[in-house]
Amino acid sequence: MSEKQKLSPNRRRVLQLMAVAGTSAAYLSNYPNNLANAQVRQEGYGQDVDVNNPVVTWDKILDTNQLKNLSVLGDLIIPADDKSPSASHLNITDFVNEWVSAPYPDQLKDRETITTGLERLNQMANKKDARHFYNLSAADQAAMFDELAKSVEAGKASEADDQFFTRLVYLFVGGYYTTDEGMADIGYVGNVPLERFDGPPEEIRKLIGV
Amino acid sequence: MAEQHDVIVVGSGAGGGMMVHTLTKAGVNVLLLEAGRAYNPETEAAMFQWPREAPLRDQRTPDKNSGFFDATVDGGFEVKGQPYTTEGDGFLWWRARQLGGRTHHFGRQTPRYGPDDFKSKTRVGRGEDWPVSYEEMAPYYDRVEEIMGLFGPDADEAVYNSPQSPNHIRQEPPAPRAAEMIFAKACEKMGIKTMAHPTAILTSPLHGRQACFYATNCIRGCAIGAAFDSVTSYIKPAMETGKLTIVTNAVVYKVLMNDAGDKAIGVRYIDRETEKHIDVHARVVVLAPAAMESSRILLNSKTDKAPNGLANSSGNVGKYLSDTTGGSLIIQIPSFENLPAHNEDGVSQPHVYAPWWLHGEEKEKAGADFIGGYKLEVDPYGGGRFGPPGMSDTFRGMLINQKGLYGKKLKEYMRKFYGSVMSIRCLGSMTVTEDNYLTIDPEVKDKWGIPVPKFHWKWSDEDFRRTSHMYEMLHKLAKNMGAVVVHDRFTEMKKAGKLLGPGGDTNHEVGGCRMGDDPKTSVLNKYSQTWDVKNLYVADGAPFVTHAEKNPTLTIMALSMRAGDNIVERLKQGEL
Repeated sequence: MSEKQKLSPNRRRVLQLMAVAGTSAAYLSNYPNNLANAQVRQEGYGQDVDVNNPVVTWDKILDTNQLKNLSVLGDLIIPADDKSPSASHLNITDFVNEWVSAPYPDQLKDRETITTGLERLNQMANKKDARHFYNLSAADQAAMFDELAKSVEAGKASEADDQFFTRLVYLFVGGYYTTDEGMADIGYVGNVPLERFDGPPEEIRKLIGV
Repeated sequence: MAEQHDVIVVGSGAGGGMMVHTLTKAGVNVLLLEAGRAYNPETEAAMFQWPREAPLRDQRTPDKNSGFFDATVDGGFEVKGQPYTTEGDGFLWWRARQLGGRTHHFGRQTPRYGPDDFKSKTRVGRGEDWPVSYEEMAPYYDRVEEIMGLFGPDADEAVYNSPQSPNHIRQEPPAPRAAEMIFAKACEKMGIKTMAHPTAILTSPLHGRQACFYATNCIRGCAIGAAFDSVTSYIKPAMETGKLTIVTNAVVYKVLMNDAGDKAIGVRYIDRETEKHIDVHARVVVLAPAAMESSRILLNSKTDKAPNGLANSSGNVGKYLSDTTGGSLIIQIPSFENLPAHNEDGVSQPHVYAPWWLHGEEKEKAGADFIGGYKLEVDPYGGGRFGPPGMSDTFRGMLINQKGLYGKKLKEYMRKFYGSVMSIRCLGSMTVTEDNYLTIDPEVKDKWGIPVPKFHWKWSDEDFRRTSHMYEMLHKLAKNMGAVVVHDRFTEMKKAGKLLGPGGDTNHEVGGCRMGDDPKTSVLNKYSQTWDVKNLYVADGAPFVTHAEKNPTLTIMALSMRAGDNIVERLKQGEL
């Protein structure tokens, strides 16, 4: 597996903008002189994988600023409380990076949705004299995100904002609640060998009325 | 090949594997050709890995259509370099390329077809009759189940047209899960009987295989032999007879005939690794590469004597295709909110189901104007606490209606509602018509230049009626379970002007070489032997005549065993 490439911010942005323009992974492989293909791996894992040695076959493409923004957003979506930690504590941002960096159609679509959504947040932050969304004060970050959430809830958000919010939450929820801490929080018990399966205990049966 | 084999078997899945087992156990020398690579679930199945250990948390991708850890090798709805084309309502064709075929990935549901399913025309006045009856198939169902192993209900509980495995064969089922207890109670309220679902998973050791330990999704394959697969139960025992030769990476594309054009002499295949074309010869050829592929091979095996394709004097090759139909609703059960955590993994299939319950007058009164029916189940992939949480199945259902939810409220929502959102589903019959068939695409070829199949698919009015009936029933079921419907994809589809998705979506596609009593209207006789070529048999899902509301695998294997017995007998008599 290749090391994460150090691209200049400009070259990295070109790769992402290509995705934004609707370019698919096919483009990347059809143009071998293309700088992105020469620098960044965008391969799927193929149809014959080694399940005992899972490997991510693509490079993660988000830059430092995007990752910082995502970490802030992740903690707004899933904050720490007395039962379980925040999303950033479990590095779910890294999972989101893995997801939007993947060369498959669904993930490429999310790549566009997420990166353009982050851009829009930055532009709104600019209006408050902050370079990036993460440069805003915590209070301003929370307020801006809450405004987005409320517009989505009311059905008044643009299609792009609705998708951005919805996919962001889906990815952080998926990434978070598949960790040990997340599973303990919601109460998944299983994936252990049992000699017998005897159904729910008496306590549960009473609660559900059977 | 220097050796002369008695029988060539093409394909190592449910039908092919069963054939290989039947023949070698009877002392017949067999050459097995498998298009995919060798595969051993003992070493290759992903047991206990968490979704987070896989890229994208095991989310399905175009490379692995059922997730990274799924057992399928080099397959899914697309096999690279081996395309197919479609027209009409569309068709999705699932293929695997590995020893054991799709038996490593399949759901292991193994219900028997019933008397009305085999003789629908005579007994019910709809559809067509098979050339075999339930009475003739029952001893084969018994024998297959004895080798395969399964759990199931008490045979005395069986309802009309859903016969169950006898008590001395079937094993004890696992206890119903919490949601299944609610489901059973709701069905009882509606006068619908429920019972354990016949499933090819062991709850007691058998033939050196371990009992299930109620963890790990069977779709990954089974390293301990608890979930049936063709390699563990058919091919390994067949190897022990010393009568079996296996060649993998052998993609068969043509049956070879003698000069007179009346006898098969072998097959031609492409070696996937060297790309060489190789001929092999035997006294008998059995095609079992999966239903649709059998038709493709026959149609691509034209001779002067058979200009419309081999064994196709009836013109029926590629015709009368079907899949099962299906439906599901995402529901939420309020009484399951804030339930204390408990292990609900069980086996990765429903422990309990409601077999189709309407027949005769009752069926008429219920306005069920269609052949067959459908069964009801709680979906073990649809959420609940059935297995480790994963991306699409668990969270999609939970979040689908929660617009703008985040933060503290989101965490509280997840805690409260996790385990209470799940799916209920139906699997139903399909009405077999002339409108569903495959031809050879006039232009498109696969990477080796072999013409590919073109699927022509058109749902019938009866299929729409049955699916509509399903969704009405699912809503009633949800209500009686005390549940709220969270998402109804049927309503969405109806709005989009489409009542059903593409064919092949439930992966139970059969037909194309239907069996019958009349060579003018069928491809095979009652022993799955082609009418036109005495030493050519078809032993996958292609022989099916009609399609019941029952998963087809057990019936595929019973027909294959029957055909195998016939081959053994004829070889002994010197007829082949």
